[in-house]
Amino acid sequence: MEPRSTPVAPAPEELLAAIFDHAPVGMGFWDAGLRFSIVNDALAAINGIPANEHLGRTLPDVLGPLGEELEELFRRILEDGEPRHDLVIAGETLASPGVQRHWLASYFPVSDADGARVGVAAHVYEVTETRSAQTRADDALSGARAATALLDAVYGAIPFGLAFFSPDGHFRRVNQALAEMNGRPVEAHLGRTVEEVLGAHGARIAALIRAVVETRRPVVEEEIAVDGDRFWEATYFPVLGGDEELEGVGAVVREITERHRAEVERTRLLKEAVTARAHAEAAQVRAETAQELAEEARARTEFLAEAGRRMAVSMDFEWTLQQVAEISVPLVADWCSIALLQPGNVVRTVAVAHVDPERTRFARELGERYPSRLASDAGVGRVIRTGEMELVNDITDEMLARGAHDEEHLAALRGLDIRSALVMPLRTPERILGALTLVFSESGRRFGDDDIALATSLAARAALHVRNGQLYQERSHIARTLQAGLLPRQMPEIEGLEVAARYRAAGDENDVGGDFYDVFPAGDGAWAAVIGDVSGKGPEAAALTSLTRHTLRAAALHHTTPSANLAVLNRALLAESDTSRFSTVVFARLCPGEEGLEVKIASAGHPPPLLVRSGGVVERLELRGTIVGVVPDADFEDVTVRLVPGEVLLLYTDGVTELRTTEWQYGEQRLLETVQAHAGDGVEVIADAVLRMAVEAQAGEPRDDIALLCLKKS
Amino acid sequence: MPDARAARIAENEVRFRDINERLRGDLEALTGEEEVLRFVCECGNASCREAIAIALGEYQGVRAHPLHFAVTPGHEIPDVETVIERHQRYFVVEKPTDVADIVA
Repeated sequence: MEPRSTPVAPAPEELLAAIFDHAPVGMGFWDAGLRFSIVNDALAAINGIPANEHLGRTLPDVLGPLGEELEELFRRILEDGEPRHDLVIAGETLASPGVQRHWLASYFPVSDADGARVGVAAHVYEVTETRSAQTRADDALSGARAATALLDAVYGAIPFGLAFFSPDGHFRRVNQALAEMNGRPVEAHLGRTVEEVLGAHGARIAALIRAVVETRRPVVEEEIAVDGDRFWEATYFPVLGGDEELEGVGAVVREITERHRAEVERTRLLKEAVTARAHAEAAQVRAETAQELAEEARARTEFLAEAGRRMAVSMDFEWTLQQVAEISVPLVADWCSIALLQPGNVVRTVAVAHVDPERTRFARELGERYPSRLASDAGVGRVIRTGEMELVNDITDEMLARGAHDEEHLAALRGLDIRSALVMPLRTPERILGALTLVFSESGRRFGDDDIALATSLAARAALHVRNGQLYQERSHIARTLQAGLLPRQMPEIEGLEVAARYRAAGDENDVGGDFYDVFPAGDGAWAAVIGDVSGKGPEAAALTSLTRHTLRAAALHHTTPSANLAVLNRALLAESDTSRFSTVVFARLCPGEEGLEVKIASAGHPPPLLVRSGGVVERLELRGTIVGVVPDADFEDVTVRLVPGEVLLLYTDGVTELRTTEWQYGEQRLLETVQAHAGDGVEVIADAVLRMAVEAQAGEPRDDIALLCLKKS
Repeated sequence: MPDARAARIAENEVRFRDINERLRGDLEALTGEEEVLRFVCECGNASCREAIAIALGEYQGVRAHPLHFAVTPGHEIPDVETVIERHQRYFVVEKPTDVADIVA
């Protein structure tokens, strides 16, 4: 064993200098006046100025505000003699201006051998980096705590349900709101799966969580019905760590029951609104349709009214039926024709109309060339024969062929393009008068119920019109025949006397007028000229006129004076009629002589005859006498006048002086003026002039019969 | 070619059907096929004020055929159409082909 050598110890000054020089920490000594006395390089580096530049300077001089703090500390150390260990000093030095740095420092008093304090020594270790790391750690911890606190606050305060699931679907965190939504306390969730907490409903959520885990994409459930009357909206999203590893699945759940109800109500209102709008549109359609129907009905009514007016214009029913046919197209049909059954069972088309006049003419000629046959088994002939309407809405070529007379007729029928036809009988209670045919061709229309109803009404009106027309014609024929029997067929030839007569019945041709005139031989070479006016019209007046005329003719053979003849007439009328029927008559007995024509004349209440004397003077021949047929003791006055050649006797009825005024004198004045104006003319001219004056004075439509007899001595 | 009455009836039915078509378009975005809704009776009586209770899906089935119309039971017009389906809430009628130009 080698003997242990005695260690050699350096001198204290050398050791101190070595320590100062190599120590990795800042070291320094300050004298009792607290001025830098010894500074090693490490401390000089901390302070940012070379070591030798410290010597003799104060702490504030080298370190500024930090130096002031340290100087105060050093002064207390000198006073109390207590060291200060491991102080953390913070501040700036010239080594890093503007940077807050930290040092771990220990300060202790230095005393001499006598125990007197001679200064302060220090060692300083920079801990800025260490301190910063600690600060960051502390900040991180503080931030984490703040984030946790914030998360806790959010979980607690947010009105939505929040949850965090582990990747395997276990609740890791649940806030109170979600716990309440699920109806379980928070603790009942943690560590459990959603199936364990929510049952069947949880299975669906677990599937969503798995989907988020697999896809790492959020999943949104927009509407979840719970218990039928509560609704939720949920979002599940991945929660990733800093390394992008999946930490779990977050969930935000919001109850949207109110919103759902609002949407349901909005949808309900929208449905009601669109439904109501549809039904309002339907009501509008109904109103428009009703309006259309009303207009169509009005058009039909107006058409029938117009047809009635056309038919009322004239009793010439063939003319008026043509008018009706013409207004029927194209409103009622494309074609309209009317055929009547004529004597001998001949069917004759009396009216045809189409909007095209050329086609109308063609059809009319066709009807004349190929008249309908009463024996036909279809069409006009059959309808007239059976009285049953016929409607064919789809006329075939075969039908046309059956109705055609020959090939040429068939070709013509094809050319008419007949597609639908409606044939209505013109029916009267007694018989079928004919048929109304309506045809649709180029329009392509078909007959419906409304068309049939309209055609039925039109046919009924036409039938009535035809029947009335036929009756009118029959009555006119009777009236004309009867009237002819009440007037002379022709004026007799009387030597030395010109005779002219005019007659115009008032009103239509159906009534026999009550005026009459006659010129007939009165025996002994004399002639009788008679004019009269029987009250009333028609058959009774005709009978009375006939009685009057023939009574006077018979009486004239036995009585030479006009008054006697009138007396006979009076008795005859009284015997044959009541006093409501009467007559006015002028009876003139004309006796030719060498000194002219002697005229014996008497009046039974008749307008005064006129005498046109030579030179044109017109005289009213005032005659006194009662009307005949009223009183038994009628009184008549005979007056005798004489006509020389050129002089005129004018007999007339009151229709001649009838005016559309109450001033009857004005009518007589016009008559006098007319006669006077034609004083030199022949009887025909005078008669025409007087008749024309009388008709014109009554605006062309005399309200009373007009009769006049003009006699001129030649 | 149909007669005037048949044509008029078909025209009325088409007008009501057009309204229902628009209603169906509006309702499709608002409801499901099962909900029973109030459509306009598509009968040919222009003065009809009835509504038919029919689900959207049912109506779409009727509408699939251009000659078919949904009408209130009893509103069919036998001489111009044929009832091909009888449901408690509505009938389906089929129009003849001679009005196809009007209704199709």
